[in-house]
Amino acid sequence: MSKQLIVLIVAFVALGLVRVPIGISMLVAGLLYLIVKGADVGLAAEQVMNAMLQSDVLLAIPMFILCAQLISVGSIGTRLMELAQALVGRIPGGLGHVNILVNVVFASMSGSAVADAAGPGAVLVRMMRKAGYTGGYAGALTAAAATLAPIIPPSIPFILYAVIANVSVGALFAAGIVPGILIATLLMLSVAWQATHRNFPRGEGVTLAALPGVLLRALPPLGLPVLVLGGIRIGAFTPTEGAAVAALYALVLVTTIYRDVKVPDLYESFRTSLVQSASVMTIIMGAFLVNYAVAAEQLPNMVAAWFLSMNLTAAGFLGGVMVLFLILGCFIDTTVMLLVLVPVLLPTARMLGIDLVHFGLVVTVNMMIGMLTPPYGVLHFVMSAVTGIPVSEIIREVWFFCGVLLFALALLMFIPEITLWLPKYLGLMK
Amino acid sequence: MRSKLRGALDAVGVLCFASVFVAINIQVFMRYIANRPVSWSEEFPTLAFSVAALWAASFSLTVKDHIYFDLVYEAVPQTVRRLMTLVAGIVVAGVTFWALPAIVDFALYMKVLSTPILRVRLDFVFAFFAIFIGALGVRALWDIGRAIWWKPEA
Repeated sequence: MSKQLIVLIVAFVALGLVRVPIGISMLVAGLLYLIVKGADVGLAAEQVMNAMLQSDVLLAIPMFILCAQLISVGSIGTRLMELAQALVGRIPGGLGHVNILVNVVFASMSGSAVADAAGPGAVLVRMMRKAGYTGGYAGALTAAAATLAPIIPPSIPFILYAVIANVSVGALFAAGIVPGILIATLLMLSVAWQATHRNFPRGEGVTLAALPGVLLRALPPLGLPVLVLGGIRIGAFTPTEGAAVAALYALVLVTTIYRDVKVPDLYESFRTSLVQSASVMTIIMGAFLVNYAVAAEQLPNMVAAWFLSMNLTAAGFLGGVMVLFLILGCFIDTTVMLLVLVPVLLPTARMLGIDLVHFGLVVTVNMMIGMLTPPYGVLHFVMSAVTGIPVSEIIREVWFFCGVLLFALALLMFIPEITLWLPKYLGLMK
Repeated sequence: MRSKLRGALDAVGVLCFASVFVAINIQVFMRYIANRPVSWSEEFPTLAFSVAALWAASFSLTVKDHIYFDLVYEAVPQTVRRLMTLVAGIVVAGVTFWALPAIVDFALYMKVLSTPILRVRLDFVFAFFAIFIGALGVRALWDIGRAIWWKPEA
């Protein structure tokens, strides 16, 4: 390992530890790498700007963020919650099921677990606490259900993975649907099991006469995922166009059909979306620079040679990566893992014949578990911040759901067809 | 005054960001509804979003908007936090100001190139990266000042 690569790694870790934002830590470490190497530091501008200007797919991220923002400001959330309550509210642990179902629907419109936990998640926790659930359980379940957001398309991690692994966004989106439904089903089964053992209350349903009204009220937002995914599937839109059309659909819904959003709210939605996008882009810019350095130092090839020298099978490699990511996911931000660690591992995965769509899916599910596992499970902090429930109470209840998600991960890892069946069936991959 | 300036800086970024959203939708509209595809909308969104993101990263993002690792920071007493802020400020300011002249040089050099469709000179676009690196340095200087005249964040 060269002197400049050691400087890069040490600077990145040290700056991160003294609370320099992760994206800026990577940028500064990358600049320091070029300085120590004696290379032209102007290369940093070239690497970052060319990557930004040439990647049309990255534009889907701000558009999906905008779409999620617009959905969260109006009454769309309330309408979807009413529908979920009408469908599954009456069964034992009803509100737990409502929580998961609402997260499934929101996941099909937004691609960020944090956005879903902070938006509809906060309202769901309030409803559950009012019905008699403990704050810790409500927070833990909501955090677990929010992990569906990046698995059920659209998904920001899938877009990032598509950029670094050079695979089809459409195939990745399709690959997320069945695993997303599988995880939601496992979570609902676990809620049902807990409901009988812990005597959770039944929720309120709606009368049969009121059902058509509730359905009608929630129908327009449900058209959004159909439009976007259908459009991408038939090749009408690129993912970026699909994302922008989704945001437009949400804008029309909240301004002209439901009319529950004012101009200042709209401005704030655009502003918040820009700030969130810029925050993600800072990490992406840092990652472009770090990845340039890592590639220049031939690190991915060295890692691949090391793995191959150990005579690992594909399953052994995948298992090792999963364990590594589960451990690192407790401490490191998922975007960093995706943008910095995954490119280092991709050549090995390719050489071992692992399907890169399958690899992307299991890595994303794994990272979502990382967002849920203590001590650095971002979702606990988000839930605690928006609901006031102490993190310790959420952590006490979250282990059970971590177990459920780990079981799902094992199924997805060992049975690739769960993931690959749909994109193959739709002709999005061979 | 400061909040008005901040609002104006935010508004520039928001306008740029909104134009990305409008341009992509125009692209879809012109292709499928008007049946008259336009070429400018292929290039404009990536340019405008790069500018908007760099602008917002320079002027709108606060520390809280970023993703950071604060397990260590939160676990240590105020005096250590002060030292951490000082060290971070010195390293970030030192590296960014060291790198800035080369980055400005590179941005200026890009005046020889322009984008293929809109013919926007690339030095104009690359200048926003230089502004961003400069803004990182200035913010780091601010952090050094904050560490010297210690004022913990609210």
